[in-house]
Amino acid sequence: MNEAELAEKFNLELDAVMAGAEPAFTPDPGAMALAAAFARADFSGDSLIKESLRERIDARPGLFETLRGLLASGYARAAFAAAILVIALLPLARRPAPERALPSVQPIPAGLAARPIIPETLPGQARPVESVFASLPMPALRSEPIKDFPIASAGRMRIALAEGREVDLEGGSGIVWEVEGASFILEKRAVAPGDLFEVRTL
Amino acid sequence: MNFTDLYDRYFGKVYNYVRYHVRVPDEADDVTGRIFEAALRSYSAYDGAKGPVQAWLFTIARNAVIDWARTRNHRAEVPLEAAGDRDGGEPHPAAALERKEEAGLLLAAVGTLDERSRDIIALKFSSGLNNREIAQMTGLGESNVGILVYRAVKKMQTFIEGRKL
Repeated sequence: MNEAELAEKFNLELDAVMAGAEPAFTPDPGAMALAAAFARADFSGDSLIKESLRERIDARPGLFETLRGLLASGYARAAFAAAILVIALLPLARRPAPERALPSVQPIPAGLAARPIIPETLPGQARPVESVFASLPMPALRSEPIKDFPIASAGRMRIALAEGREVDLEGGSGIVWEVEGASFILEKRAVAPGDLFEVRTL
Repeated sequence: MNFTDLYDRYFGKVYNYVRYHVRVPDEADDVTGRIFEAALRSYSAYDGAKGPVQAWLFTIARNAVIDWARTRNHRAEVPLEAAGDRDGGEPHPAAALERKEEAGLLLAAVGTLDERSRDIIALKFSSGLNNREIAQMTGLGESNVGILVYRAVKKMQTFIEGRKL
């Protein structure tokens, strides 16, 4: 039996010994006895770290503890708050720029500024609301003669009524007012909240 | 298997593997600690489909031992007196003393081997891997592993018989 055959037989029997069988290996019982001694040898009793290392492994922080530990630090807390602020302001940064610039605001002439915005005598059933807005029901407007249109000439900002006519609009009706140098439409139609308010989402 | 279970199951095997290379107990503790710290760091990336967990763990252990030998620039040969000199505070009945002497003799015998044979012996008797798995880990042929085991055992047998004379 050459060395390769001996080695193969030795390893086969060694695997059996390591699985719990009694050592034999008739060609060299001493070698197998030594291998069996190695198989049962345990040096781990010499270790002084087995328990302490196990405690460290058991005490390793999980994800929740890691986050809590980070938030306990002032620097990490400030960074976390800054990140939240950036996320909250992100929609503003994404808001598209206006297509064209708004017209500049002209100063109100001194003489006009002192006058009330809404005239004291309103046509029909008009009711002032907090002295700024007035509700003018469309039937009342229709019933009023054109000559009683409430906008009156005021100093240099002269507005002269030229013509007023009722028109049909999509989803409602309106009256076209043609004044000196311009015309505008006073509309009455149903509107949805989306027509009036911009919907923003985070 | 969570990492604590893996630790409980393989600590002794890994420590034994390290002791075959690093015969000073303090240094063996240090290297073993590094092995399990490295294993803990990469345990989440361990893929069981790629092989048994002990093959993965002993690959880490082999690398740690190689790093230890490289950084310390020495082989694992130390004076026999330095090996197995801890009693762990246990009493010294004859059986315990006999086991301790046997452990010291085995480690001394392993110290007579060249590095490759010592690594094969350490893997064979501590990892629980078979010759095929050891061959895959070391890059040797399976039959070569078997021959190296046999030759190493014969060499250590000669050493021990010489010590007893």
